[in-house]
Amino acid sequence: MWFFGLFSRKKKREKSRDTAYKRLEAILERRRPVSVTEIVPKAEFEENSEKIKEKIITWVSDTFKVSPERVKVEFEEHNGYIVIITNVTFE
Amino acid sequence: MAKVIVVTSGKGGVGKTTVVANLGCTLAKLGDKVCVIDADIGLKNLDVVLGLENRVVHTLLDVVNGKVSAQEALVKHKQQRNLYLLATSQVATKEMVSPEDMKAVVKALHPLFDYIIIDSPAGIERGFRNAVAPAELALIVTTPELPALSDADRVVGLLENLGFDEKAMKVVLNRFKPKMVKAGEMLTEQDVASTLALEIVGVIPDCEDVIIATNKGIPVVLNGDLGVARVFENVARRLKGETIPLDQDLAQVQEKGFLTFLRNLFTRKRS
Repeated sequence: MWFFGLFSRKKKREKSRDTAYKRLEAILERRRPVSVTEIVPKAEFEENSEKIKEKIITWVSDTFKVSPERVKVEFEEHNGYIVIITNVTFE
Repeated sequence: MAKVIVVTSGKGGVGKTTVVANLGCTLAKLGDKVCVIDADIGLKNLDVVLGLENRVVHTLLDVVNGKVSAQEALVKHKQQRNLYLLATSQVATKEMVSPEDMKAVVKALHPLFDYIIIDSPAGIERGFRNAVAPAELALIVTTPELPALSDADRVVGLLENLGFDEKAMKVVLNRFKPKMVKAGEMLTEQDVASTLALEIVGVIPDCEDVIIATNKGIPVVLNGDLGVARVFENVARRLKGETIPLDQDLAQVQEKGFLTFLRNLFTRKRS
């Protein structure tokens, strides 16, 4: 078997430039939607967070025809931004 | 009236101060009257790179506090007589200066110069906001590495929020290693231009002479690698509106190997 391994090892190794380019694109893509010009004050969000949660749960539940109990909505803070994470299990 | 340029990056250690010193010297060599301002309060280095650390009497803080005028605080360069430095203080903090203070200082120097180049501190905090406040053009210095490019992109976003459009932001690609690019182990200048979606105004090769020049306190364009000096001249001419293809920078970078070897063979022993 080692004999065949000799040939399979000769597969072209990906250059680190290609890896770097893919990683860079991924990093920048993740960030770009966050670069918004309109920023909602944090206090305004905190006042309405429960309402936001309810609305998202209702919308997801209605759109995908799942029970509201199966929709999980969480708020997390990343680098000073509030991120809304909505979790629903599809079969 | 001066054109006001801020040299910024996001990530530290990518060569902002070296770019400011060499670009300032190059523009001065081309006949422009240039003022370079060190806005990196508390961690200043521009005076050291220019070899003027012993000549600084007054600083940016003295000007902001009204002790002296901006003109009185300027230090003239030893070799380039139309290059001036407004140094900053090492024992102050960035919070002691506001963006409005910086605008007032630059406004006072505006009629005296053709170019005012501001050396921004690393980071995106108060010091960055101070440095960019009076500028009309931002040069974003980056190396072709992920952390520097990621931070450069973050700075581009912040500059956009502060009102800079894509024509007012340009990239200087520093510490470029053509051998690594050729081997497929470093991002190319096209990769950087396409990911940041901005024009590159200079590709500066990674060069040992820059370290030697800093050791001596003489910017490399005044006493060092001819290839690097030509690249900085290309950058300066592009900023003046000339159209010089980026290939010309790369030609300097690529021909460096053998030519530099030959030149070093005959010149190094003098110093």
